[in-house]
Amino acid sequence: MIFFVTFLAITYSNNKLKYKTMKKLKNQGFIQFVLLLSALLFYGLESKAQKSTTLTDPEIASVAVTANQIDIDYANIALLRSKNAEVLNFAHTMANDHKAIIDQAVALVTKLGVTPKTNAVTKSLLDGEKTTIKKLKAKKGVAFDKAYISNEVAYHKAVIGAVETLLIPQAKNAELKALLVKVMPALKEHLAHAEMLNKSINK
Amino acid sequence: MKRFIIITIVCILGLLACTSKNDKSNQDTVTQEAVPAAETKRVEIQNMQFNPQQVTVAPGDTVLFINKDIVTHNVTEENKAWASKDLPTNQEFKIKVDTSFNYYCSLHPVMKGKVLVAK
Repeated sequence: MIFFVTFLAITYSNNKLKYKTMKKLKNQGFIQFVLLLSALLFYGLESKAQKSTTLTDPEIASVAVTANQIDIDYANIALLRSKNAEVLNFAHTMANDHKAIIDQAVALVTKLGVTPKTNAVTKSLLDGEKTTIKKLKAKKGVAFDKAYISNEVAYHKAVIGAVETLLIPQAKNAELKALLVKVMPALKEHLAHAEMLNKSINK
Repeated sequence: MKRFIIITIVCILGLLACTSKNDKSNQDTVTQEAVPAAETKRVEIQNMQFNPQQVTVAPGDTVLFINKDIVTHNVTEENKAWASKDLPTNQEFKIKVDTSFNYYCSLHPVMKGKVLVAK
């Protein structure tokens, strides 16, 4: 992660020299800022950034549903590509569990009359998904299994960090907050399961 | 004299029958006290854990697993000797227990539990 932040900083300073007009510089700077903020938010490295980022309940609902749907998308790729029984079992569980969580979230927002609202964090998650899917689809066999499980470890760590330090503290509706708390054990079990598989397939 | 002998034999047989019945009745009572009725112990699946994780039962008791989680689980013997069907929220699985066993959820292998039979 430190490497990633350094990379962004270097890229940013290079861009300063490269772009001649102020308009281009501002646009590029904004994109880099959003990327950096998202990275910090989801890898739990910068509490100051988290404190200064406020999300409304509709935005939190959007982030929660998107984060779960992304893991279902990864699982669906694994179900098509992997031949490892343990990886397939894990992918089935991810698809089913995250679908169950989405169903709970949809039932709650329907009851509350809340419409999930797309926001910068949601967009950042979706951008990250595109990049990851591209990487996963470029791999086959054992290399795919390793890439998929390794990503599941990193992704669940990031989501757990975001739910614990951003979404739960900022949720205003008590039922939404309670649902976020309720899904934490499942997310933590998924991480432990992914770490267990990561060890076994890298032996 | 003959009549007396017959009456005596009938009385003796009658007394023997009564004594035998009472003995049997006592035996039944003793048997009921020695073997307590089988119990059902409850294990709830909640927050991705079996609760309690370890349960001690007597031979012949039943363990009832009930899924109170938001995701589907199952109960699988550690060597896969047997497994429940998948249990969505609020579904139950019962098993009569005669020997101790370790188990886990094959969908979430981090989740483990133990049933001990007290001899």
